[in-house]
Order: sequence, then structure tokens, then C-alpha cells
Amino acid sequence: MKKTLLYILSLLLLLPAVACSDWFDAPSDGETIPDHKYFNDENAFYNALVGVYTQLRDADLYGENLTLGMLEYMGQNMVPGDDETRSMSEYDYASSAVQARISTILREMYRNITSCNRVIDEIETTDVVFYNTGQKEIITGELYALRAALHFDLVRLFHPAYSVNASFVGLSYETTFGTSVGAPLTTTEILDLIIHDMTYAATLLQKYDPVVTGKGSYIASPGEIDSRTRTFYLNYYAVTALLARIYMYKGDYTNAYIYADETFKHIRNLATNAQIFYYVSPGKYISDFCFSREHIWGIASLPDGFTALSDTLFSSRKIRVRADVAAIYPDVNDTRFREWFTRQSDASYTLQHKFGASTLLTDYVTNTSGTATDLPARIPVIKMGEVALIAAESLNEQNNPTEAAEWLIEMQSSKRNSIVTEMKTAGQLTVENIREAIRDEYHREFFGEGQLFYYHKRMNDKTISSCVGEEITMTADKYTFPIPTTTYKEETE
Amino acid sequence: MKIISAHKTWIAIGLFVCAYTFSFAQNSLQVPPSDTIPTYTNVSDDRVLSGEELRKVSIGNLWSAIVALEPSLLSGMEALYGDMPGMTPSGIVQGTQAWSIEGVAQSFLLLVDGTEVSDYQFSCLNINDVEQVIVYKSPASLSRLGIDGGCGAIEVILREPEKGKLRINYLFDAQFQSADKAVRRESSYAGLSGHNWLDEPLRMGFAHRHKLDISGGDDYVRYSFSVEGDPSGQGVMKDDYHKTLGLSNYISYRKKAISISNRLSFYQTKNSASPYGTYDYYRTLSPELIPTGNAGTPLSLLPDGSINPLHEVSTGSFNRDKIHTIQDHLRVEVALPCDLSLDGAFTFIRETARNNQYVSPSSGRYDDVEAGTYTGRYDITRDNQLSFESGLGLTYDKTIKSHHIQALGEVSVYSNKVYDETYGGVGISTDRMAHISFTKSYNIEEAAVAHRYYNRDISGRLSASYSYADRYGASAGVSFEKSSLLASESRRAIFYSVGAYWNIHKEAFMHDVAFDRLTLSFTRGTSGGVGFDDNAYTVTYDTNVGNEYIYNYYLIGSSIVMMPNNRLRHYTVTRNNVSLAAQYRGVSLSLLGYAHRTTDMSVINPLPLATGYPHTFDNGGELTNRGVELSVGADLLPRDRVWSLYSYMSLAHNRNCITELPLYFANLYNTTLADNYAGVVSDYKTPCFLQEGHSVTELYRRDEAGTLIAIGSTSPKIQGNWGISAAYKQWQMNVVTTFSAGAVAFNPDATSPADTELSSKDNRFTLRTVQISYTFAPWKISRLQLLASGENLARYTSSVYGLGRLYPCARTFTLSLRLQL
Repeated sequence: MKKTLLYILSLLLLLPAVACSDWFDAPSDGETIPDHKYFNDENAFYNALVGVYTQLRDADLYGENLTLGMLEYMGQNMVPGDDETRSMSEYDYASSAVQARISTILREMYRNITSCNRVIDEIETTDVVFYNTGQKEIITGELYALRAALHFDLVRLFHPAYSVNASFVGLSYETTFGTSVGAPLTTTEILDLIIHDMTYAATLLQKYDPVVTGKGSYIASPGEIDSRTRTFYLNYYAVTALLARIYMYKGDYTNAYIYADETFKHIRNLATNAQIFYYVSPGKYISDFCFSREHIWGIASLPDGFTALSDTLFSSRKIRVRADVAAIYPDVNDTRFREWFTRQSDASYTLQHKFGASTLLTDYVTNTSGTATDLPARIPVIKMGEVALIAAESLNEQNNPTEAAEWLIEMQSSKRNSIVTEMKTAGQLTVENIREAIRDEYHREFFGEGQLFYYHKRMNDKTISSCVGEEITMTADKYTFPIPTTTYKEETE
Repeated sequence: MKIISAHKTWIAIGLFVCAYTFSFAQNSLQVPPSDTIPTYTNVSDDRVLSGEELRKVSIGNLWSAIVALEPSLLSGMEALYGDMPGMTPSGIVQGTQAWSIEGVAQSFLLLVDGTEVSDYQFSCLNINDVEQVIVYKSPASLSRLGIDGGCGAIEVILREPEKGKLRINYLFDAQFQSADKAVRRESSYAGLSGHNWLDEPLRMGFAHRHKLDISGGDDYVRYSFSVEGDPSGQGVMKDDYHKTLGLSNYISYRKKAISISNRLSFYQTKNSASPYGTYDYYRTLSPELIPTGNAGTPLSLLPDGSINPLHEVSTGSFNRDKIHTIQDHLRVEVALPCDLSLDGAFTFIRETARNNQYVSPSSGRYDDVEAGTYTGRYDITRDNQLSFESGLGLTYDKTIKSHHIQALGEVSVYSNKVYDETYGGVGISTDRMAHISFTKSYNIEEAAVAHRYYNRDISGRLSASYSYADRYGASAGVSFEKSSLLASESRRAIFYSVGAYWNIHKEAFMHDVAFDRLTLSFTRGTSGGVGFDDNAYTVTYDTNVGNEYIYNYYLIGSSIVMMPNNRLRHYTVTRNNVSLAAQYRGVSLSLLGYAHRTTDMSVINPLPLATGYPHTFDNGGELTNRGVELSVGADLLPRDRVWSLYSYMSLAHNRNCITELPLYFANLYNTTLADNYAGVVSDYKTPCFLQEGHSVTELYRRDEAGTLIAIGSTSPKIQGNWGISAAYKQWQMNVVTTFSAGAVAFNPDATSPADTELSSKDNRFTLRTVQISYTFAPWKISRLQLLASGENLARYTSSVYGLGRLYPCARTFTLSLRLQL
């Protein structure tokens, strides 16, 4: 009797040790949702993806630091107005303010990368059925592409240029979510991983992405992929455009051209009314002064975000753009010069309109009551102009200046700029002339977007002209953000 | 039939197991019988307060009586809530055992007859139903509670009906309360003449409580039925009330080896906050502000533009609660052969609270708002709780000559679900339409919210004790549990306790010394607590409502809240107690020294930047609590048969100290607190920075260099009580006082740690109770007792910020009748 009871008690006492784990997995619901409850339908995956895009427009990343707030000063496009921006334009990485921004950029980029990794983990193992055709492939493709794109911008910032030192060991390529991090890799290794993810993303997106077939008359319901808004996301052509950028960064002109050319199939293969991105014609962009129709991928913003930052800088504080801006646009008909810049009383210029409150994007969306809604300025990440320049540079560096010139002419014509056209007429299409024309267009095309700094770095320019017209001697150290000491080791105090 | 016959033993066992019973109170130590004279002779360090002792301190407020008698208990409610009716118990025992970083409450566990209850359910208990209250401080008792025992525990053991013919008891209390103006904080405009705002919302509060008990029984069946209520429940603020209704029934059956009992109870309270608002607001009103116009009617706003409380009262706005709870406790005890006994219990508790708040469209806060817009609002909150608890224990108890052995094995299962929702509507046409259905739309300024929380736990315990000749004893126990509150990779927890005691008075060398008892004991044990919620160890998503990706488009993203740590552990409190209990003739003494150490508390540790997050939750830090407690009781007239006079005193000193504080966590915590200082204060919380070498409850000021300078702790260095009980024939008199010293009070008007005035010394003395009673048996009444009691008749605090900030302190006068037929 005693033994029997003791056996029963022993079994019961083992209960805590063997009790079903699922019964204890009872996390709370409230303002936040645990992940295993959250990913219960296809909309959740889409919302998680959109959450990553929303974080990218924060001031820590593309909403300020990687554009108007820091990289534009480092690209010498904007004249500093305080000590902090002065430190940026002087590449003073010892400045605590600059160090803080650099640490924030690195951390927030990795936050978005790990957010992508978390959703990738879920979507590749989920039992959820996606009722919308192609939705799963599109979401998965965008996640892989985002992960690769963000790693690429980290490499462009924190590693020396590929042409300077491709064996530099700096950052890691993160593919998991958690407190453990990967080992630092060389530039070559990271770029290979980036290209692998981008290529995989392109494979997933190509079959189902509506950007390939163009804008349809079907108005998507909430939760569906909407063809009208595909350029707000990393769509198939954005992936091919980024691959062109990556291969150009590596100096691989052949592949750079292939992907640049692939990107322009959108406007070659589709009728005008089906195109989602295209060169804007003068008079046709209405109030869209950022020329958003040329963005292959741009990040959406809110009126109190990027637009408000632009207005604060250029309308309120009257921050000036570089002193030689007028000389950058010798063709006074250039719509970029006419629409983006406002002349001040001292003959200097501000970038008041490109991203300011006067910029309105039309015909992208209707609100829930069916009324068309105008959107504030968008933050461009990659545009047709850059892809055209990549194609032109690729051809030119392979000794084909004539064909390269056609890319430039098409691009300039949309801006009422006839410089290369005149060069062609004058029979002056040489490799050197086209090279200079490309450089000039890099100066003209990317005000406020942060891309000029990357161009100087990629070209390993030994000297650049400062925002006030002085010559700056550039080194690999100036072009490369120092990797914070706490990147792979937590803070000790 | 053959099958049944062959397995009859197993079937019988199964039937017994199915009728499972649980006993938390089983331990090897004897609980002394309740008596009119307090006895402090427990071998265990737990403090046992008998029902009689408690009723001598308060006629109607159980929590107040416990706090008065147990000096290691710090309630901390008085300064803010004064004597607000219906306050629920909270506080700390023997110092703060762990810091909190997520706002997760670190309070003691409340139990009734071994079952975990909420603070509301505890506050529903009638002091007249209490057999005894145990304040658990012994490491052995607390290790049994596992992750719920880290901050201590308080258990109420309810009375059971006694054998005898049918008895009818009627209890009546008529309570009068008046605000204690001596301890309230002065008006900001003291010295000016005009309207007396501080007295405006006050009144003489009246409550009448009734309780009818019917009980009786024999050797087999015992029963009791009880109904009680307070239909008025007025406090000292005008137009507030706290009305109660309670029904309970107890029945037990005992035959031979089996005892089955069941207690079913229902409690309901209806509360209404005073429409006059919070008392502290009146301190900020200048006497020169006249609230009425020339016609004598209240102005919608005072001349300086602030809210006029008299106008608000006239609009019909209200804030009302209705709370009820249903509880059922089933208990089965089976005496088995071979010195074994089996105890089992099952408990079901359901609690529902409903809060309705109405702000009339005529309120002065809408004075500037255009007519026809969304004035008036109605907010609803619903809180629900459903819990099940069951347990089974097997005890072996054997005495062989001078050796006594006891062993216990028990297992329990607990499941609790808490769910709530809050939503509101705005736009009410007239102040007669005070209902949610008459609002025009949802209140978009405050989003509707709903929550669900789960607490699921399975625990087991093995313990054994041995004593020799009632002279030496030793005990040991181990508890293990699995809980849903713990992180997914660290769900299991193990705790232990060991102890030994020596009854010195039983030694031969003590025979000539007339000690009734002299016992030295030592106990060491661990218990734990959970200082985080599941966001800390689970990946959670937050929806970016109001931050849509594309402007004015319906698409909203979701993002991960923070980097979780699924290996997060519970914190552990290691307790070491040494106690000496002595009784010499009519004098009893109990001395307890303790040293607690809390480790593995929730902290925040930095992460490498490449994780994408700056930090995550982790375990670390160390906190110690050291203290001494002394209780002395003396029968001053041991030989007198007509008079009895008993005096008692208890003191408690606690020193709390942070002995290890991770630097990153400290910097982050203190910086966040400094940045949100004014917000923390406006939430009626005390902003206490964390610094190594100081208490968790230390106050600091910041000097010009930014250094934090300690200015004192909000917890007193010493607390205690002194009381005297006298009896002469049918007369009884009790006087109880309480005191504390060494604390500082925080300036509730401070907005920054750099403010010049942040604290005031806070030494207190309270004439807690004066009670006189006369008991007699007139006519055919078995017993009639008349009582007159005054509670909190005199209060003193050295703090310039006074007591009773949101609700005044009150003096309470009660006339009571206890009738037994």
C-alpha cells in the first residue's frame, strides 16, 4: 500500500518535468502580438515587410542621415550650417556627434536586416496558405532583396572602395535574428553573398511582380500587391537596377550593363499608359518636383518626415547648396536646375522644391473613400538616371562611346538638356568626353539623395571640389566610415 | 467483474486520487492555538496573528490591523491614498526584494486557505471570519511557494464552524469618519482668506455594516451560512461610497478517515469615486477664487480658468466601479494506514470588475470647445480574471520513541487568465444621456485596448523533517516548478530550504532555569520571482498605427518591439534566518535576524551593434536586505484572577542595499528616469534612481555637476508598534500605537532632480486604536458584546507634505454590537 502510494506520488512529482510545453506557451496579447500568434495569415507577412520599409525612412537612415542630413554634406552638395555638419563635410570621424550618427546608421541598418531575417524564417517554414497568387514569392523576393540592398549600403559606407581594397575585412553578412552575430568578411565575400541574394530575389519576383506586366486597371484590395505602388517597394526592376549598381561598384562592366539594360525593358516593352516608371517630360510632372516617376525604387515619406526636414533646412534655415551649382547646369533649360533650386538674394541657391512641401505626387493611390490622394515627396533610392549612367559608363569603359552616348542623350532629353546631343552633332563622342559627361551628370542628377559621395568613393577621386569651391584631398580613410568598436563586442561601460 | 476485482486496489487508489485534497499548511511545526494573549513562540520564523489579536486592532479593516501588528510590513499607501474606502492591500515585507524595470509589480503573494487570491479578493475578507493570519518570512515556507515567494506571502486562514447546536450570530457596526486635518498638507495659499477650499469636499462619513452567521454541527457535519453587507459605505469625501454585499456558505463532512469540506462565497462591491475629484487639487486653489457667480450658481470655470469642482459636481459626471467575485474551495483529507495522510484541494475563482467613467458635456473642460463638436465622453473598462488551482499532497508522519519523522510530497497545478478591455465614446448631446450608447463616435484620442495574460504553473515539492526528543530538529525541502511566466528556454525552476532548531529549554542543564521555552533556530532557503513579462523573451510585433507607410493609404506595417532573450531567468532570493524564541513566566520574546540576498534580477545589457538592437533583457545585479525584528510580550498581572493586563511591543529594522549594479543598466535606467522625471512624478510614483551601495528606495538630488547625491530612503529605518490589553470582569480595553522613523518623504511637486526642495523627514506616530468592550449574556441571549472603538485618533508626521494626498486620512469611530443566539 505504502509503496503503491509512493509510486503514484513519484509519478505526480514528475509532472512539472514532463508537462506539455505547449500549455506553458501562453504569451500575453495586448498592444503587442507574439510572433507565433502574429504570423497566422498572409497579411501578417505583408505587414511585417511594410514595417521594414517604414523603418527605412526614419531620420536614422534614409530619412536624414543617408541623405539630406549627413551624406549630402560629405558629398559636398550642401554647405554646412553648424559645427556638426561642418565636421561631416570635413570627414572628421573623431567628432563625437559624427561617431554617434555612424553607430546609429550601422545599428539601424542591421536592425532592418535582422527584421528581414525574422520574416524570412517565418515565411519559408509557414503553413499559412497565401490566397493571392504570387504574393508569397513577391514578399519573399523583396525580403531577400532588402537584406542584400541594406548590406550593400553598409559595404559602401564602412568598407574601402572595391577598387582600393577588395580584401578588407570589416562587416558581417547577417542571415539570422538573435543575439549572436556572424564573423566579419572581406568585401569580396560580402558582395558575393549580396549578389546571390539579389539574384535569388530577382528569380522570385520576375514571375509575379506586376511591375513586369505594368500598371493595370485593377484596383488592389487591402493586403493585395498593388501595381500602382510597386515603385515604393523593391520590385523586380529595382532589383535589376541594384544589381547593375553592385556590379558597377565591383568594376564588372559586363554584368553591370546586362542588368541596366534589363531594367530599361520596363519602358521598352510596355505601352506608355502601362508604365509604372518612366522619364518625366517637361510640363507633365505637374507638382512632382522630385520627379518620382523616374524612381525605380523610392521610400515613401510622410509630410512631417522627409518633406518637413527639407523645408526646415532650405526654407527655414536657408541652408545653401554648393556654391558652383549654376556652373553644374550650363544648359539653363535643364528642368532640374529650374525646378529644384531657388536663387537667394546673395546669388546662392537652396534646394527648396525638390523635396519640399510644394512637391506632390499624384495618381499613385486613392484613399479608402475612393478619392485620389496626393502624396508628399518620396526618398529616391535608385532612379532611371543612375541606371542610364551605369549603362553608359559600362559601354564607355568597354570602348563603346557611341552607344553610351545614346543612353545619356535619352536621359538628358527628358531634362531639356542637350549637352551630349551637341557633342554628338559635333562628332566629339570620345571615351574621355563621355566619361566627363557621365561625371557631370552624377553632379546634376542626385542633389539631396546622398549618391554623389558614393560616386566619388567608387571612382576613388583623389581630389574633389568642396561645397565652397576649394579643393579637398581625399583618402581611403576619408571615404570610409570607421567601424564602431562595439559592432561585434558589446559595450563594456 | 473479474477485472474490477483484480484491480480493486488500483481502482480504490484512483478514486482517492480523484477526490484530491491539498494542504499548504502542512509542516512539521506546530501552530500555537489562538488566544487572547499574543504568543510569539513559533519555532518557525513566520509571524502568526490570531483573529482575536487582529480584531483588537480594528473592528472592520483586516488589512489595517495586519499592517499595525506586523512591523516588517510596509504598506506605503497612507501618504497617497489616506483612508480611501475599498483600498486593496499592497506593500513589501522585510524590504524591497527586487527592483522592477518593466513596471511589473513586486508585491507579496496573498493566500486564503492555501489558495492564491487577488488583492481585491483579499480586501473582501471580513475580519470576523479570520482564524489567523500568517505572514510568511521563513525561508522554508517561502521556498515552498517557488517563484511566487520571492517577495514574501501573507495567508489568511478562515474560521471553520464549531461543533454545537445551531447558533445565530449578528454583527453590527456603525462607523463614523471625519477627516484628519492635522496631517493634511497645507494649502499652497495658506494665510490668505476667502473660500475654504480644503474643507469644501469633506463630510462626516457614515457606514453601517451588518453580518448574519448561522452555524452549527456535530462530529460528522458542520455548516455555516453567512450574509453580510454595507449598503452605505460613505467615506470622508462628499458623495463617494463603497457598498458591499457578501454571501458565503461552508459545509464539511467527516467520517472515520475521510473529511470533505467546501466553501462557496460571493462578494460584490459597488464604488463611486467622489465627484469632487482628488483632494490634492483643492490645495492648489487660492481662497480668493470664488466659485459662484452673482446669482449664487457655480461658475463653469473659476476666475483663473481652472476647473471649478462645484460646477463639475452639478453636471452629473461620475466614476463608478462594480466588482464581484465568486470562489469555491473544495478540500478532501484522507487518513491512510501506515502513518500516511492524503490531502487534496480544488479551487475555482472568477472575478469581474466593471468601471464606467462619464464626463458630462456641460463640464468646464469643454468651455473653450465649439458647441456641436464632440463634447462629453464615456469610458468603459472591463477586467476579468478566471483561475483554477488544484493540489495533492501525501504526508508521512511517524514517531518511534524519541524520534519523530515527517515527510511530505505534494504537487499542484495552477491556471489563471486575466483579460481586460478599455474603450470610450465621445460626443454626448446632453448630460442626461449618460450612457455609452449615446456617444456619437469612438474616442479617437485614446485608442481602445484589450489585453490577455496567462499564468500557468505546475509545481512539486518534497520535504522532510526529523526531531529527536523534541530537543533537536532538522528539516529540508526542495521545490520544482514549470511556469508560463518564465522564459521559453528557462521554464523550470528549483528551490530548496534547510533548517535546524534546538529547544534549549529541554536540555538537562536548563531544568533549574524556569524557561517555558527557549528555542534557537536557523533556516536557509531560496525562493524566486519574475521581474519581466513575456515581451522580454518572445519576439513580439507592434503595429505602426498612425504611421502608415504610404500617406493616407491603408497599409500599415508592423515591427519587432525589441530583441528578446529566451534564456532569461527568474530572480532568486536566498534567505538566511536566525531566530531565538523565549518564554519565561509571563514574558515572551522573539528575536529574528535575517540576511537576504537577491540575485539574477532583470537588467538590461548591451548588445553588439550588428544585432541591430542596442540592448536586451538579461539577469544580473545583487540586492541585500538585512534586518532585525524583535517582539516582546508581557503578562503584567500573571497572578491576578480579576484583572488581566498584557503589554506587547514589536520593532523591525531593515537595511536594503544594492550591492552589485551593472553599469550599463544603471546608466540607462537613471538617464531614462531623469528624462521622464516629471512624468513619473505626475503618475504619483516616486522617482528613485539606482546606485550601488544605496537602497532601492533611496532619493537623490542632482548637483550642478550632474552627480547624484543621496538624501535618504523612503523606507523607514525602524518601524514598530506598542499595545496594551486590559480586562476586568466583562470589560476589555485595547490600545495600540504604531510608529516609524528614519524615512524621508518625497516632494510630490518636484519636477526635476535638480530642484532645491525634494524631501522632508518622515517620522510618524499614530494612536492606532482605542477600543473598549463589554460582554454579557442578558435574557436568553447566549452572548452580547458592545464595543466602542476609535481608530487613527491621532496621527503625527514630521513630513511637510502631510498624509492623504489624493484622499484624506480619517479618524474612525465605531459603535458595534455582537449578538449570539
